[in-house]
Amino acid sequence: MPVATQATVKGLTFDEVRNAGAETVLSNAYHLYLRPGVDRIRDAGGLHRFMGWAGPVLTDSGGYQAFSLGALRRINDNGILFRSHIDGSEHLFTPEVAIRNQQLFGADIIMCFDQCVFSAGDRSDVRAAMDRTHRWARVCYDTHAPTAYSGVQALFGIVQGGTIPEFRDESTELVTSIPFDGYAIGGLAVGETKEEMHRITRQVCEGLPSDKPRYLMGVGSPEDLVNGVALGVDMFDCVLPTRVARNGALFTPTGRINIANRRYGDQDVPLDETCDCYACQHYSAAYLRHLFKAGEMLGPRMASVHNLRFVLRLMEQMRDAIAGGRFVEFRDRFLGAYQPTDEQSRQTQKHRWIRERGV
Amino acid sequence: MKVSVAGYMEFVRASRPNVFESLCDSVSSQTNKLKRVRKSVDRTLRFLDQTLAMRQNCQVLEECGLLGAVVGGDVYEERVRSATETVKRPVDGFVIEGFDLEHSHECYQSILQSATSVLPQSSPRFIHGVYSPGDILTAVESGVDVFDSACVLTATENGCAFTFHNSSSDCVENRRENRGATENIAAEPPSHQIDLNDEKYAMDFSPLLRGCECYCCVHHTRAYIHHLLITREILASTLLMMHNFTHLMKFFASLRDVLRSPLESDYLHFKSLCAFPEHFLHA
Repeated sequence: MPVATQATVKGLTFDEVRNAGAETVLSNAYHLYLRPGVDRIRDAGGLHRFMGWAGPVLTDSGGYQAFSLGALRRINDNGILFRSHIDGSEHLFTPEVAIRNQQLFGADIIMCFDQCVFSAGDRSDVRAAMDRTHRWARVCYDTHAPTAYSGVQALFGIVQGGTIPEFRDESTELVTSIPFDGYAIGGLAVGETKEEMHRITRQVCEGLPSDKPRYLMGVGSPEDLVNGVALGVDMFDCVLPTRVARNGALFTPTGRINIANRRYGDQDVPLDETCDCYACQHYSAAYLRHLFKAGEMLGPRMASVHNLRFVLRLMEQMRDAIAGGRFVEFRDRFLGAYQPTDEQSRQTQKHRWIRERGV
Repeated sequence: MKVSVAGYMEFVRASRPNVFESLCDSVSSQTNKLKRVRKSVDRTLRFLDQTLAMRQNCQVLEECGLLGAVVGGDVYEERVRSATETVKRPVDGFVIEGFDLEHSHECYQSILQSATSVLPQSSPRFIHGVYSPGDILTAVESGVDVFDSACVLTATENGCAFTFHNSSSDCVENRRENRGATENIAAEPPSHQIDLNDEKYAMDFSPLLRGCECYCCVHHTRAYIHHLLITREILASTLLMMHNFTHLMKFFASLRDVLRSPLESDYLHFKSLCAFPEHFLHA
C-alpha cells in the first residue's frame, strides 16, 4: 500500500498512484489529526473526499508516530500523552480517541491503538508494552462500531512482543482470540536484523488464521516483500519506495541503483526496459539523471512513479505466481537476480534521509 | 565560462530546436550609461551577423527559425536603432530583450512600443519573463505576439491560483446580443488570483475556480490545496501548475478570439472583466 502520509503520496497525483497499480493507500492518523485536523476532514465528507481518492484507504491509529515523532510526555494504561512535533502543543491519544479519529476519517480499514517499543528495549519494557497493547486491543474492539459517517469499517488487531519468541506466541494467541477482521504484525522494521524480522514473521504467521489478511507493518524493500509473502504475509506498507526515489535511488530487477551515477548520463534508453511505468515508457535514464542533477522536481516525481510501479508490479507477479502454483520458482528467480542494498549503507542512508527530510 | 557565438551555435545545432534566438548582449533597465547601451546594440548586431553566416553553411541550422534580438535598455533611440538594423537582416521573427522585474512601470509600454513600431507587421514578436498576467495585455497592446509561461511559475511559487476572467464567449456574443443590458455581477468581487496559503480556504470545499476543467479543479478543492501548502507537500506545486497553466492557455485562446473582433470595445470589455490590479496595467 503506497503511503499517503499527509493525504498525499508525496509529489504524485492520485491518478499517477492508481496508474502505478495501487489499490489501497495508507494514511497516518497522527499527521492528519494535527493537520488538517479531524473536524476539517469530517466536514469535507471524510478522508476519501478530502484528498480525492475513491479507492480503499487504511489508516493507522497514530500510536506509532505519537511515540516516535512527538516528544513523549507520558505513557500509561490510559494512553499516550505527547507534544506535537510541529508546535509543541499537548495531546492525549487513548484507544477510544484513536478509534474515534479513525471513524471520523472514514477509512475502510482501521488499526488498533497499540504501544510500540524499539528493538533495543529490555525484556520488561517489551512485556509492559505488549500487555498494554493487549488491554487496548480489547478496548478498541469494544469501542469499534459502524457510524453514520464512517459506515462499516474493518478493524485489524496488532501482534507485538518485540523479538522475544515466548512473547510473540503469547501476543499472537491473545490477539487472535479477539475476532478482528485482520491481523497485523507490529514492532518490526524498527532496528532489528533481517534474520530476526524473518524469524518473527514466520513464527507469528504460523499462529494467525489463514482465512484473514496478514499485514506486516512498515515493510519494505523489494526483497522484504518477496520474503514476507513467502512467510505468509498478504499486506505491506512502506515509505521506502517513494522516499528512496526522491533521493535518486531506483529499483531495477538486479537491485537498487543511484541515478546520479555518471554511467546513466549516456544511457539514452529507459532505465528498465522491462518496466511499464510512465517514466520508463517516456523517458531515458539520461533524462532522469539530468532532472535530478538540475534539481527539477519532475525527477523525484518520476522516480517515485517508477519505484511504486516496481513494487506494485512485483506484488501482481507474486499473486500471479501463487495462482499458477509456481511461487517458489518465482521467489528463487527474483531473489537470485536482485542484489539487496547492503545493510550498513541502507541504515546509514535511511537515518540521514530521515534527519534531512523530517517527516 | 565564456559563451562565444560559435559555442552557442554548437549547442543550437545539437539541440535542433524549431526556433532559436540569436545570441545577444542585453543590458538590464538599470543600466543607464549610454555608452554601455550603445555597445550592447552594436555587439548584438555583430553576433547576429556571425550567426547568419554560420547558419548559411549548415543545413541543420537553416531548418531552424531564427529570431533577431532587439536590445537597447531604456534608451528610446537605441531601441529604435536596434530594431531598424535587425529588420535589415533575413530573420524569421524578433525577440524583445531586456525587460525585467525591476523595470519602471511608467516606461514599460512606451519602451516596448518604440521597439515594436519599427518591426514588420507580418513577423512574430517574442518576449520573455512577463511575470504578471496583466503585463501580458500591456505587451499585446504594444505589439508583442508570443510569451513564455513565467507568470504561471510565479503564481504557483507563491501558492496562488489564477482566477481572472479568461473566456471570450460571454464577452463577444453577449455584448452583441444584449447591448445596453445590465451585466450579471458575480457574488464575489472579481480578483485576478487567490492566495491558497490564506487560512480562509481551510474549509472551502469548492474548486480553485468554478467552471475550470483542469485536473486540479475536477479532482480537488481549495481546502486540499491549502492543506498541501501548509504541510509543504510537493503536490501543491504540481496541482497549482496544472491549474494556472490550463487557465493561462485558455486566456490566450480567448484573447486571440477577442482580437479577431473588429470592435475595440470588445477588447476593452474583455480587459475590464479580467480585473487585473491597477499597478499591472500600464495603458
